[in-house]
Parts: sequence; structure tokens; C-alpha cells
Amino acid sequence: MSALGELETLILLAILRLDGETYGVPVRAEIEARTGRTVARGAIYTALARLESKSYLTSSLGPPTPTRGGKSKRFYSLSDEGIQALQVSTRAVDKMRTGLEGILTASP
Amino acid sequence: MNHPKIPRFFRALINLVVPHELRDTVVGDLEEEFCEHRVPLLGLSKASNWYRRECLSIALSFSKERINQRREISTSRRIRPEMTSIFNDIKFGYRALIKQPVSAIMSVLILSVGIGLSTTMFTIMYGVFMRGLDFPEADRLTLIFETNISEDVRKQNVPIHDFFEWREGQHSFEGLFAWYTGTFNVSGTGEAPERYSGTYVTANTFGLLRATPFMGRTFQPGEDSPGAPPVAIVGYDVWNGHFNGAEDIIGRTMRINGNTATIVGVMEEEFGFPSGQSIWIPMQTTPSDVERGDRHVRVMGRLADGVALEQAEFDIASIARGLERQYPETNEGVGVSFMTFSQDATPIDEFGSVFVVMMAAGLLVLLVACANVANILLSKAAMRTKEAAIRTAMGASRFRVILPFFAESLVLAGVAAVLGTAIAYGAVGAFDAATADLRPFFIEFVVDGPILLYVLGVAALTSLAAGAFPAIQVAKADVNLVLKDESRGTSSLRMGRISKMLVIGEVALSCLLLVGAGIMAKSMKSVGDVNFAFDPEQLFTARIVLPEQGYGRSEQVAEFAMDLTTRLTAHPQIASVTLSASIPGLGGNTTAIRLDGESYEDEGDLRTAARRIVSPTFFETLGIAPTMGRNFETHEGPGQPAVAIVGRNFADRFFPGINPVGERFHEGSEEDGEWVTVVGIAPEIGLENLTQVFGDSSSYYVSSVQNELRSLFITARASAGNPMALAGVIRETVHLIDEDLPIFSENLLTDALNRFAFFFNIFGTFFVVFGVVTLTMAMVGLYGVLSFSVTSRIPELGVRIALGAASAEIVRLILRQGGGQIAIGMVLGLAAALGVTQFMGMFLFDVNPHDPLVFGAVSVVVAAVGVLAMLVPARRASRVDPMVALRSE
Repeated sequence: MSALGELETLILLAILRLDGETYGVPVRAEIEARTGRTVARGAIYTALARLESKSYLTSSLGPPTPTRGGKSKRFYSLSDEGIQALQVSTRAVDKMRTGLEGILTASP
Repeated sequence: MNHPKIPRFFRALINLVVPHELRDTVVGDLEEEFCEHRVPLLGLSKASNWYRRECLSIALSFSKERINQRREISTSRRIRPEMTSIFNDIKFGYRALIKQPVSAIMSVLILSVGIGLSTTMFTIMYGVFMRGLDFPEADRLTLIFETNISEDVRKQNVPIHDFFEWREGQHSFEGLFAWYTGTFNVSGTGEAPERYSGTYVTANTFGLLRATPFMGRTFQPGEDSPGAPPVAIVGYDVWNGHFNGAEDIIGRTMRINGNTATIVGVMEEEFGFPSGQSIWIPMQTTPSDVERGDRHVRVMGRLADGVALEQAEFDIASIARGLERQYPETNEGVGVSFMTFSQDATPIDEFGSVFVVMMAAGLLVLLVACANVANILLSKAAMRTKEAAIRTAMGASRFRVILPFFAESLVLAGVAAVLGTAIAYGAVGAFDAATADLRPFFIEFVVDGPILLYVLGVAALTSLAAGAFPAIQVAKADVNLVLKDESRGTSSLRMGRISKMLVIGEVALSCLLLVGAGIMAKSMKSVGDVNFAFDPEQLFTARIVLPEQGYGRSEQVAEFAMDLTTRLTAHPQIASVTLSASIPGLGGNTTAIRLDGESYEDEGDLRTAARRIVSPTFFETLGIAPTMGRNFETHEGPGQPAVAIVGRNFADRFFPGINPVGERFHEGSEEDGEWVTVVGIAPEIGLENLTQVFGDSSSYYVSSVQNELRSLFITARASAGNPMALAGVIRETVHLIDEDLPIFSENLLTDALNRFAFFFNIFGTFFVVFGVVTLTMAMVGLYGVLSFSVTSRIPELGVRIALGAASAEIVRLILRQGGGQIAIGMVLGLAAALGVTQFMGMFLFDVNPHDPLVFGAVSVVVAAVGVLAMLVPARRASRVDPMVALRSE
């Protein structure tokens, strides 16, 4: 199991947070809304593809809709491996955080 | 349905870069955001920019990702060994290019311009002739016209009687539908009345076109029967503009030409059947409403599944034969003819030849570019003959020896294709915007799939053609000779001959294109140079069409005109006002006339002249006075003898040497028409030299008091200040008389006249660009060949100089060599131009296609440019130091 990059972690977390509406646009919007960080659209798509190829994500196609020019949405959800990977990487961060809360939660 | 305004080129880019399992998702996400958020938030043009930016950024991300992946793969697994050698050759060609960046950059630029221009022309051609209707299975749709071979009519509208008979009797169509267009004055909506172009359609029209509404529904069967509740479908622009995009538009009512109708649907933005119309109402006409033989509808059908066009033609033709027997009076000799929508809507007869000439010109530019690059590659190949000979001697196969040359031209053409596409993208965009108001709705000019395919094909051909010359030469070279002989071997001599032929070809082609450009430019100038006998500066024009409802009788029309003129003249901001049937300076209906005392055997012998209906204040408002005789009088009504004022040309042509005042003529082809008496002569006022557009250069005026003027232009001269301010004055005054009457085409007269010349200028500009580009290329080519020839002849020149040749003699020697090529090229090019310019006749105004001035000027320019290109190498030759030259032996 290879370690998750930061963007990959954010994307997996966003997908977990979003209920159902888990395709590219809302994922990007969720990250932006929570972290205030704008991620390039292309980066989201390539990361999603990468995560799927590592089988952390599974995807399914939704029905095509007219506002999308008849194109389907691709909905993503976390696989068991994905959840494990997320646990590993967030746990590592949590362990490293322990004892530093004073510094890390203080507003800069 | 895709959003019509999505920048397609960028969408194509996404399709190219994104792996296919993600493609739909990405495109869909972008489209959703584009339509739902960006367009409403930013407006269309900013949203399109946003779309382009996003596409580029996504393309960039995926490209990076790909490179990363490849790097991983290539470190783990090397390319298969048998491929490496060919890759090496391509790399070899590529390196050869990099080593001489100047010639590489030059070749790429030349090729990009060639590819770019020819692609632009191809896109335009494709849009005009091939794209066709954007409806599902449009190839199953066919127009049906009636013909009358005995009267030499090959295409005419269909009487509604025949349409209904066809519809009853046919077995080969899923259905037939019919329509005619008209002017729709829209009022009663709470907004200011507006005028639109609209279509009366049979109820099945939308279903058979497979056109779906944007909102609401299309017509249902039966809504076109007489007495059905009146309904209407509006276009996207009407909904968005007139109704401000109201959500609740469905079910609202509006008055169309005075009749109230309920709105049942809104069409998609790009729908404008048949030629940019924006309102559709059911055609409730039945055969009993009109006389048999009154042909006013157009008919189209959708072929039933599995039925061939020929079968359908046979089917309808046999019904037509039945009608011929049944109604010999109206249907004698009437046959049918089928054509596609683009065949009909594109006026091929009028513009077709121009498009073909332009496309040919685009291809010629590409050809010249190709010749040029071939030449550059040839001169480089000559220097590498020895290297190739060594490779051959070492046992390389012929294929392997020539491969680097093709690789070189392939790399050049590839880069040029990308740049050329960018050029075409820009040029086509500009052309599309420039012609937006002038073309039928289904014609669009975009660089998309089929166009990119064209670019790909052209690039492949180009690289083959440009690479073939050097490759063949090198492959043919005799290894022994090359290896024995230093550099003056037979191989390099032979190469020189091909180079010379290429230059001759280039000079010939650029002569041809320059003559075309010159003639177009001269013709453009004559459009722009027309001297108006009046000053259009202070004049403002607007247009009104009086509908049948409320203005059914001529007296009502006359009363309106009188009322409007009186009110406007009384307004302090208006110095003078006139009404006319066409914009002053443009237009006029070609009419057959019979002169008093002349008899005509045949209708074809009748005289013709352009007829213009004007109100009595016409000449006063334009600020010109009849040169002889008198003006129209306001009291000369319909009861009085008909009078006319004739133009200068009319007078000179039909009454040479006599005073035309008092002479008489009949209008129309009937012998017993009313006499029209000439009462005055006016100066010619407009673009009368544009005979191809207006049919006739002799014009005459008749009074609007004696002739019904239903579709009229108001022309007013401002008494002071900005004439544009008259827009409001005219609008208010017209609405005081009739609040339902829309006003349109409001313009300064100067702008209206300029807009007219614009379309012709576009084509002229293209030609001039083509001409200049090819001349530049020919010059570069000539310079390159001569310069190379000088370099390879240095030893020989050294000997000549050492033996006492003066430098002037050396210069003459080189000039003679190049001069011969230029002369032969010019003779060939000018001869070809004599033949080709014939085809341009249709688009020329007041210019002789064999204009000696243009031919002369082109000869001088080409010769001068050629000499210029020769001078530099010639001077270099004359300065060859014999010692240096001989030492190199």
C-alpha cells in the first residue's frame, strides 16, 4: 500500500463527507469550501483516476442529463482499501500531532 | 443536445487528452457548470473564456500525468529493440533540423501559413457546402420543387393544392411538410412592438425535422386546420429578448400581425428554420383559400425507412403526371425536382464560383509553401549527399537512407499543422463573426472534427511532397560518383534543375494569385469609391412594413404615408424627410419597359430598367435637384396620368440625343399598360455601376403618391446635431399613428451603405492576403535557390574571376540564371491568370477581368521583387576571392 499524497487525502475525505453527490464538481467545491483552497480541475480528475487505479476508489456512471450535453456523471465511492489507506495516513498525522495541539490550534 | 456556444475546439482538445473512461465525465462536468453557473453569472463571452481556460488547465494536468507515467514505464521497461533503429532515424532527422534552426523555423513558418490559409478556406467551403442541416438524420430530408422544363424553370415553389395532393398520394415518405415565410409584427405583450421574420408551417414540420423545443411543446396534429385555436412557437432570441427570458412564457398570448395567438413553445437557440426565422405559427391555408396555380409554399419530406431517393422521386413525379392530366391549365409541363437543403439555401449559382476560386487559391498558397519547403530541404540534402552515399556504401538499405529526410519533413509538417490550425482558428472565428448576420442559420464556420481531419491529411501530404524531392534525389545519387567527386558531382547538378523548376512554379503561382488579388482589390476600390451624388452624412434611415391587417387598401397606405410625412416634417429636429422603397443609393426593382414607338417581337427583347418608388420630397431630402424638367407633385394622385423622373443613364440610353421630357413608356410586359410620361431627369445617385447586384444601370423614379409603397424606408435629414437622435423622434412619431407598428433597420445612411460593401470586402481581403503571402514565399524561394547555387559554384566563379572576369560580368551571370526562371514563371503565371480570372467575373464591379493595368502592375512587381531576391546572392558571387575559392579545390 503506497502512501497517500495530501491532495489524495483531501479528495478521499471529501468523498466521505459528500453523501451521494460524489462526482468531480462537488468534490472540488467541498475541498474549496472547507479549506479555502482552489484546486485545479485537472488535478482533481487526474487524482481521481490515480486513486481508482490504486483501487482506493470505485466508480459508477450515473444517467446522462441534458444540461451536461447528454454526458453521464461518474460517481465515486471509497473501497475498503481506500478507507484503510485513509486510516493509515490520518492516523500517522494524528500521532505526530499529539502533544502539539497548543501550537497547531493557535491562530497564527 | 450540446450547448451551442461551447467552444468546440477546446472540447475537442479535452477529448484528445483525457483518457476515454473519464472523457464524458470531464466534458459533462464542464458543460454543466458552463450552462448552469457560468453563463448566467458571467454572460456568454466571459463564460466561454472561462471554458477555454479550464480546458487548457485540464489538458495540462493530464499531459503532465501522462509524462510522469511514461517516465515510470520507460525506466522499468525499455523500448523494443527493433523499433529503436527507426526511432533513431526520426531522431536523426529531428536533430538535423535543430542544427539549422533558421531554415527549420523558416520552413515551419512558411508551411504553417500555407496550411493555415488553406484550412481557413476549407472551413468556409465546408460550412457553406457540406455541413448541411444540423438535424438528426438530415440526409433523409429532401426539398421538393416544381419544374417547368418547357419554360426553362428548374426550381419554383409549389402551389398548396399540389402539396396536398402529394401528401395524399405519396407512399415513400414518413411525411411531407410545407412552409412559407413572412414578416411578423409582434405586439400586445406589454413590450414595445417588434418586427420579426417568421414562418407559417404545417403542424408536422417540427416532428419531421426532429426538432425538439427548449421549453413547452411543438405543434400538434390538427393545429394547422382552419379554425383551430391560434398558437405560436417563438425562437430563443424572441424569448430571451422580447420576453426577457420570462419563465412563464408558455401560455401567454401575443398579437402577430394583429391576430392573437397563444405561445406553446420556445425553440432551442440555434433553431431558425428555414433561414434564421424566429417565430412559427401553423399554416392554416387550405386549397379553397387560394387559386390553383398560386405557388407560395416550399415543400420538404423525410424519406421513409428503406426508401431510396430515386423511388421517392419516381413516386412524386408520377403524382405530378396525374395532376398534369387532371389540371392541364395550371399543371401543363410541371415536373418535380429534389434537392438537399444546402443545395438550395446556398446560392451556388451566384457565390459558388467565388468559393471554388477561393478554395483553389488557398490550395495554391499551400502548394507554393510546399515547393518552398521542398527547396529548402533540397539544398540541405545536397550538402548531405555524401553522408547518404557513405551510409549506402556501408550497406544501409535505401529505405533507411531516405528515412531521415522524410522524418525531417514530417517533423516540420507536424509543427506547422499545429500552428496552421491556430491561424485557421483565428481567421475562421473572425470570418464567422463577420458573416453572422448575412448567412442562413444552418451555416456555421468552426474548426472542429472534420476540419482537423483535413489538417491532418494536408499535413501528411505536405510532408510526403516536401520530403519526396530530396529523398528521391539522394536515393538516386550514384554512390561511386558522389564518393569520388567532391561537391560538383552530377547529383548536385541535377538537384539544381529540380530546384529551378520549383522556383518557376512558385513564380507562376504567385503571379496567378497576385493578378487575382489585384483584380479583387480594384473591384473593392470601385465599391468603396462610388461617388454619391448626395451627402449621406447627415441622413438617418429606418424601415417599416405595413401589414395587411389595418392597411389592406391602398388608400390606407397612402394616408399613413401622408400623415407620417406631415408629422415628421413638422418636427424641429428634422429638416426634411422622404419615403422610398429601398435605401437611397441602393436597390431598385428591375422592370421590363416598352418605349413609345418601339415594338418588340419577343419578351426577351424588352428594355429593362431599375424602378424606384420614392415620395415627392426624395430629391429635396437627398439635396439634389432634377437636372431637367420638374419634380413630382404631391397632388399627382392615382387618378392623374402616371409620371416618372428618369436617371441620367436612362435618358442617355433610351432617348439618345433628344429631350426625354414628355416622352412615354409602358411598364411591364403587357402591351396595353398605362403610359408613363417622363417629366424630369435626375442625376444618377448611387452604386449604379454595380450592375451585377442591381441588374440594371438605368434607373427611373415613380411617385409614391401614384404607386403603393407598403414596405418603406424613412430617410430623414437632421436639421442640426447628431442624426442618430432621429431614431427616437421617428419611433415616437410612428407610434403616435399606430402603436403596433414596429420599426427596424435603424441606421445612419452612411453605415447602411458601408455595411453593404463589407461582404465583398471580406473576399477581396482574402485574395490580397493570399497574393502577398505567395509573393513573399516566391521571393524567399528564389533567394534560397540562387544563394545555394552561388555557394556551390564558388570554385567555378573563382576560376572565372582569376581568368579576368569583371565583377559586373559575374553579377550578370547570376542574374541571367535567375532571370530566366522568373521570366518563364511569369509567362506561365500570367497566361494561367488570363484563363482563371474569367471565373471571378461575378464578383467584380466595374473591372475588366483582363484589366491590363493589373496585369502590368503584377508583372512589374514580380519582376522587381525577383531582381531584389537575386541581387544579394549575385553581389556575393561577384566578391568571391579567387584565392580562397581555388584553395578549396
